[in-house]
Amino acid sequence: MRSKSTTVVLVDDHPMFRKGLRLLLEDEPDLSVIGEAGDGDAAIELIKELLPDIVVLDINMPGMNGIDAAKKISTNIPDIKIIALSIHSEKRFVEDMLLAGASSYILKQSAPEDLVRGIRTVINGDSYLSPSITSVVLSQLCEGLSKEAGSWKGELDIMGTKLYPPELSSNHVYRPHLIQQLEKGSTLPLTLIIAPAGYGKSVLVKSWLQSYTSAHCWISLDETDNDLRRFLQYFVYAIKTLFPDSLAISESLLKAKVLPPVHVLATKLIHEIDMLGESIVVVLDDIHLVSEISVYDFLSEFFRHPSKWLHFIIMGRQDPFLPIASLRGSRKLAELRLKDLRFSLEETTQYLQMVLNEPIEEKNISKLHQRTEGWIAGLRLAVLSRNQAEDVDLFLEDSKVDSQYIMEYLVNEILDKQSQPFRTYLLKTSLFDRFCGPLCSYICQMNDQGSKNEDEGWKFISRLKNENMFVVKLEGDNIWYRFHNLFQGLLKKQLYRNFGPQEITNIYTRASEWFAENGFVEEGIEHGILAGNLDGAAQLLAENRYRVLELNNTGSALEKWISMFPHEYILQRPALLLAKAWLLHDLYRLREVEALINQLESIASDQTLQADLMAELNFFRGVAKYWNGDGQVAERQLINAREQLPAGQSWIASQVELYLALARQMVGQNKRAVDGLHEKLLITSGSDDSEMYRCVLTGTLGFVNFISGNLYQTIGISDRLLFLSTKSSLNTIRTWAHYLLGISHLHLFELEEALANFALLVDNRSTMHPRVVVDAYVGMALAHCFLNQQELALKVSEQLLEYSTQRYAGNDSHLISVARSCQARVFLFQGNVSKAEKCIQLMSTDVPIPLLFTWLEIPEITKARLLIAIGSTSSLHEAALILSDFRQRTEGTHNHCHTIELIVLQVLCSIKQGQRDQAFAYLEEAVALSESGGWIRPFVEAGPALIYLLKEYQSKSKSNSKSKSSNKARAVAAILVNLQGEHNGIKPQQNDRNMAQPAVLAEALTAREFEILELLQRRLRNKEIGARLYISPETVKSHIKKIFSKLDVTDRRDAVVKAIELKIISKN
Amino acid sequence: MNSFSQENKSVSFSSDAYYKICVLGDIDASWSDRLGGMSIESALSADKKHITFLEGRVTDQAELIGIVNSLYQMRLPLLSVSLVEYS
Repeated sequence: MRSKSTTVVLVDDHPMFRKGLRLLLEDEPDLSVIGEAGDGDAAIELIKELLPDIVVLDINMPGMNGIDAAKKISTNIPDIKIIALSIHSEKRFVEDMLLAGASSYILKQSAPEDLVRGIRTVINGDSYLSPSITSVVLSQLCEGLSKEAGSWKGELDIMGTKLYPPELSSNHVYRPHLIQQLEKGSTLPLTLIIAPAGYGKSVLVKSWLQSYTSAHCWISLDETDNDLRRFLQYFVYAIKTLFPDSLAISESLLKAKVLPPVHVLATKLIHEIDMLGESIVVVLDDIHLVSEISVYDFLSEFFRHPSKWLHFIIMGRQDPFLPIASLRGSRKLAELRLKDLRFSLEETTQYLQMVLNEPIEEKNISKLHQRTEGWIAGLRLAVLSRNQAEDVDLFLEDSKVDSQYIMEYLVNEILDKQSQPFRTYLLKTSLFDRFCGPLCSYICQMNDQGSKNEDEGWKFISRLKNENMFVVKLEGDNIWYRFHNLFQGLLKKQLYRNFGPQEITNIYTRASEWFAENGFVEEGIEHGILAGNLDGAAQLLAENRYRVLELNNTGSALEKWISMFPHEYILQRPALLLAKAWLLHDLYRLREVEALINQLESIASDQTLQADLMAELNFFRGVAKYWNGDGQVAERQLINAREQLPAGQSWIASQVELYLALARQMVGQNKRAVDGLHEKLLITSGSDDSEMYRCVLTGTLGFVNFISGNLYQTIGISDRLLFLSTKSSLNTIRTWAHYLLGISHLHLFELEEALANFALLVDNRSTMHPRVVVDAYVGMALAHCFLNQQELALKVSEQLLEYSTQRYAGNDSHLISVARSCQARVFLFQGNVSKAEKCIQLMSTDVPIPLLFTWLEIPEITKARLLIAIGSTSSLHEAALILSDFRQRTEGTHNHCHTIELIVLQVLCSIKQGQRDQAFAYLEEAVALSESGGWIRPFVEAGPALIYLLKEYQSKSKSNSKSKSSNKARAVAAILVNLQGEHNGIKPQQNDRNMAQPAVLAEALTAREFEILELLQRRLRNKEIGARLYISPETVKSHIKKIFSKLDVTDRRDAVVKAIELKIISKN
Repeated sequence: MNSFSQENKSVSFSSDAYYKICVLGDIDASWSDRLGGMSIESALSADKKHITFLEGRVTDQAELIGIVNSLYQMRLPLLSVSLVEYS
């Protein structure tokens, strides 16, 4: 792709450094240095005159510094690419330089090849950061991660109202003996308050909290908390209202697509709460409304190793699903139950005297007490229902009133007393779990359209308050109220008695309208569904789904919305099917996406669908085709989607471009894919609201380059992506940048960098795409293998297996197969064929093979590796078949990254089959394909068997040396260096004698030791060996000592025999 | 096996009492902790179905209902709930 020679101008104030740089660059045939300058001003003059392709720019210079110079150059002559070369690794310099227009930032202390690589990357239109800069960005990223707290926008509006206790009414009875019990219990992990409705549970706790000085929060639970994530979001949010900077990790865990297991969540939460070092009381009110077992599992986990700082008060009508027996046994629990809570006769007296402004006979008090059995709500109802004191007597005398029906009887009495409009308000508002003035007005004035009076609603609420009619104010910024649950239930019963189904439907419809208009989408949908107006609710969802997708592409709100619709209904609605398709696509459940699309096609034709839905349908058709390996059809569908997509849908537009570029790459139109992306990037540059769009497109460039085998470019682009996505806090996209960096570095055999990126992905596994996490584990395991950290490699592969079988990874049988085959691969690398075979046998075989994409671990390919290792005639034959079958497939989809892998394995297979010429031909193909990309990993993994062939290749290419083949020769040399276990920065470790992993030894031998071993085989003496290798006999001796220890032998003969046995060297 | 109460006995809403509960299905004794500390025993019925008996003292009706509710959440159909003894 490079044309002629790239021209470079060097700007640095140290002439010696410039000279060194010039020598270095001129060593490269495709680069020429055409000028030098010593400061910024001189540089600008020179550049205007020479118009080079590239300027390499220092930052610290006399006169105009590098940053200002870069600004001038990039505004005046934007075509010139700037590479900053500096000793500063601090973030601000990197940022300033990149903002000033530099495409690349390289540290002076990094390897010279870095600069060459940077120049080549930049000239291709991409950007490049030194690997060491990447780690700076990485560490700052980690800091950034923990700062991103409190971003459940939208959901919080609803949340706020749940986090406040009911207000105390002025006339409640102070109950010192119970307060004392609460006080005593607060040193234990849990106080459980269990009694039926109306025994004053909430009032008691509230009145205790009024005098409680430490931090406390209150969560009123309801049915929507039957979702662990939602429950925990409230929980975390409640604590954050007390300590705004706390619980960062827990909060980020909750943003995961799929939640981590409860013990992880509980441990993290406990840890983070302990870190606060302050006592907190958390009140969970109405626990009986929660039936979701995972919520109880979480709480049980919490109580297993409770935090000494956290005290729970859990209230409900019946015992929750918690390990109460053992909590009791281990004295971690204080309890207040019905018998403790009911009013004593004294308390009944006190209460009646307080609420009745007239005296009441003592005998009546005790009768009332007997009749209500200390049930406080009953007492209150009795008081409310009376007009005069005598009514109480009447009620007491009325023998027809069975105690069971006291409540209903009383509520009827209350309602009868009210004026007609107030009654209507009471009954209609009982349908809602929360209400405010405007909502009440909207609901209750449905007949006189136009003259709605919002004050009416507020008047109604204030009267409820004045009459102390079981109304609970939900505090906070919002102005929401609810009825006491018990009262609400009774009112509802009356509502159903007094209103027809049509009227009730109308109420729900009005409520849905009101909620939707005021931005409460979820309640809008919920009430729409209750009104039976599924279409309206679906419409509401359809209108809001783009916003949600864009806002936070984990889509958890969307999931919740969709889950409210009946399954059969979703199947009939294109908009809902498409919304669901987005969710599943996000979770890499592609088969299910396909099924949804088929379903959609069965209910709607292209003619009947709206344009925007049509665009999405075509998008998913394209996606399905892409993952099925049909790039041509995919491209067509995606172009259709692009044309049909209405303006302003930047999220979907970015996804369309992503797949379009991938599809083009698949059909071999790499240039069109890349050009298309560049073009789009150019159009959008400058507009602020398109950062997400630009990031997705940049990431796409990375994937296209990776699949095409261009590792250097991929790294350059990914660095840029990392920078962009970090700047815009786009977490999901950022993880893709790390993924691309990890796999690229791994194939380049830059193992430490690869590990850093993979480790970051694994650490954040719970917030990430399961397939990426699996690949990150695989990458880590491989890197550890190559670093000769065999035990670590095994451990990582076990962790992967554990991860893939967890529920939160989706329990996908394909992922489990990948995990098992990764384990097999590690065993193979360690020469343990029988264990590898066992792992492969455990894999499920009925899983269809998906597109190979960029994935590091493909079970079938590992199976081929195993067959090669087994080495029998039939197994080799089978391996060869698998390899050629897959190669056909990857070549058909222009998937170079996997083609390289497959050809290397073909080389290995042919060697084992004794087909040396065939092997050599394959090797030539492999080198030709991988040379420009810098691929090393597949060769090294194939093992020492390749060494001879590579050396043969080297000597052959030397003999017909042309400048053309010099790149290839260099690539082969790089492979050989790594294959023989001697490469920068990675010191082969001493082998653990106890472990005795034979095949590992080849990795542990350095190139020098390998050479000596070969000479030992020829029975040369130390002196002769030294003479051949130009080293002293003493050095030879020490090398031989090391060889002995690595091979676990004591003499030369044994060393040679064992090395042959282990196939480190071959028999003469 | 379908009786839900025992006649001639009365029990108060807030007092403790000893109950025996029988459900269809098999639960491990380790669940006892989360089912009010009741003892748990499983058996096979004549028609080879797993049946589990839980018995023990509950503090009040709220605890009993809590246990029954937990069994419901564990998707175990009730065969019987019977009062053995009350105080």
